[in-house]
Amino acid sequence: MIVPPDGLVLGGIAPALTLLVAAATALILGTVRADARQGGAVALLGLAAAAVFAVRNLVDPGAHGATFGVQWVVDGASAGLAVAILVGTFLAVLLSWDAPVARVGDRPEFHPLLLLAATGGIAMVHAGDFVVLLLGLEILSLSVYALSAWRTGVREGEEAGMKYFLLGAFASAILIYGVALTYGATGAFDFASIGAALAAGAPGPLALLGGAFVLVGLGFKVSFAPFHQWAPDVYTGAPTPVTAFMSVVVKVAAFGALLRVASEAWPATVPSLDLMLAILVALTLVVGNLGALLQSGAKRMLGYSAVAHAGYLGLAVLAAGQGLASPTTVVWYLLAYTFMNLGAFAVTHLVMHDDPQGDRIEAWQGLGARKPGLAIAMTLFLFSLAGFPPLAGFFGKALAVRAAFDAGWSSLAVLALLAAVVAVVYYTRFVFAMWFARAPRAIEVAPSDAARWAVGLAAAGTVAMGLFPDVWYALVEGAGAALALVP
Amino acid sequence: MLAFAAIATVMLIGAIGVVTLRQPVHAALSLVGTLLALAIAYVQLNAGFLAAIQVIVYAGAIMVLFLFVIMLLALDGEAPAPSLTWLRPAAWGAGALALVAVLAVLARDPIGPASPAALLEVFAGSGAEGVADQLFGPMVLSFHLVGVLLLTGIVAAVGLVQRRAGQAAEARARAGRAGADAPDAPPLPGREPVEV
Repeated sequence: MIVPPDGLVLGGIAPALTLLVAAATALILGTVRADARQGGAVALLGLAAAAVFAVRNLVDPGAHGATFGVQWVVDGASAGLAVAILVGTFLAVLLSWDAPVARVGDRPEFHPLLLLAATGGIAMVHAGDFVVLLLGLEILSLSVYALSAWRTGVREGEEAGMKYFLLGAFASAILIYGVALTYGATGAFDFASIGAALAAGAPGPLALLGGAFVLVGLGFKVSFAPFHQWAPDVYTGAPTPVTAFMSVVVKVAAFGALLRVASEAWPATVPSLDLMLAILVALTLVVGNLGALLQSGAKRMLGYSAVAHAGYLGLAVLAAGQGLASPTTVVWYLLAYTFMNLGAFAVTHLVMHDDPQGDRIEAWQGLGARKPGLAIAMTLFLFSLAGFPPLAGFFGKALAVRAAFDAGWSSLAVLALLAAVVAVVYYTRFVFAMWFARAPRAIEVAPSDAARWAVGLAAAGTVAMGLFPDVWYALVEGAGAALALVP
Repeated sequence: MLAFAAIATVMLIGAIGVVTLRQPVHAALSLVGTLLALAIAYVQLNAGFLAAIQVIVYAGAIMVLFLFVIMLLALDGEAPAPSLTWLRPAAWGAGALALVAVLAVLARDPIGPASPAALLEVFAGSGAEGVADQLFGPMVLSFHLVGVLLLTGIVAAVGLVQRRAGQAAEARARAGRAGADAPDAPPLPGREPVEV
């Protein structure tokens, strides 16, 4: 007789299940007729359906709670991050819609891999124990390794895929080592039991070493310095729609996992781990912002900017992990980041067209006069990334810095404010090039209406989150970002 | 105890053979010896299911994978060019360090022979039923996620291989367009397009 395990509620995992069904459908249809639009259409439908379930989880997380024992946790934070992942994937599919232009959808495996990657990300943000976290991370990573090497016969693409794969596999090994050591110290895989075991007595060297390894493994995925070196190279080498996808979805998923580990598995009685995280955040803020200053290509600049933003997100995670700030801060920032960063990559994708060097700052000169719509959108995204009010990025940075002040990391908060000033320089360089430099040549942008839609939707999201910051915040907070905060 | 000593000796000889034998195939076969001896050790401990899994998965599937890789890379007994000269001493150093660590732990907490009752208790859940209870009970979500992970790996691999096929087809199309110059351009060896 088949006995279902206790607490089996399928509502909680419905978003992931929907994406899996869509991926399987796209794969099977792809064997019948290899057509990129068909895969894209299935992907968009699946993502929309999954978003319905994710929003349902967000509005009423109590209906599902933890399911599959404690392996899958549904609360405000996880449901909100799942929504961010679905939004990011949706926009990335729009970007790759016109396959001949994007040069990525030429094989029917492309869209199923995107959907599988999103499934892995959703598993990561819902994970209630290290086993599900690790499996989600591997599903996400494997897909992204292949996607970043997708372009045919481009050496940078293959280099990007190889580099990301080798370093990523190494980071995964370190993470697994950390999980094993943590298990050795506490005898548990699930975050709640680990937290309880660590809070009960003084953590031994085994637990601290395990925590440090876990931090390094996840720090690689969220591109904390000094584990960030892969980010600019891989962002440059991967096809731009894939870069757009990985820059937001991988970051959302990895920060969701880090948030849960930091707040549930590492109780406040283990200050050494918080200190390690704080040092990484400080390094990341400095290295990311200074590195971005030196870049002349938009993709590399955005790669370093992604590192810099990981610093701000790390501040919020640090404060939320200590239970001194609301985890909603992290969730809010990540959705805002999804809109503005994906938007910036979408415009870059259109401007680069067919030219692998087309993201250099010279290519942006005169865009304001030739293509004002695109230039306005890009200006919005860059100003938002730089943190100008009243755009989404401003509230994200403000929330993160306030959280750091609340948690007593005032020196880090001041460093973050200084870094924000530096950030203005490298973002506005591109804005100046677009509006105040003469175009050396006629500008030809990629003819893709779907990608324009992606730009428009991302711009609408960036502005809307800036004008009405409280709507999304209240939605996540109201869902009770019910992370079991250990006081 | 005597039986264990014999099994342990076989395991050790096999392990030493893996790192010292020159021919990769010989090293792989030596590894089979170790794995089989380990399976027998499981049987001695009354863990029949683990022993069967050990033989099927490690001595069977994984060894076949090793042999395929050796075959595909066409490795013969030649010593590879020493590109990383520091690697060999570093490996010896790390091995010696690990040995010292194990001996130090043993010296601190000497492990006496376990009582048969304690052994039986430890391995009580290692029958097929016990493993299934774990796998399809509390770990059922992980079990399915592993399935998704394997699917992802296959889809990713097929996607990357298809790319090669696409390149070869393009090359042939170009050769076809070149027309009179190269009417019978042979397809690139080993890069035929995959028929789906």
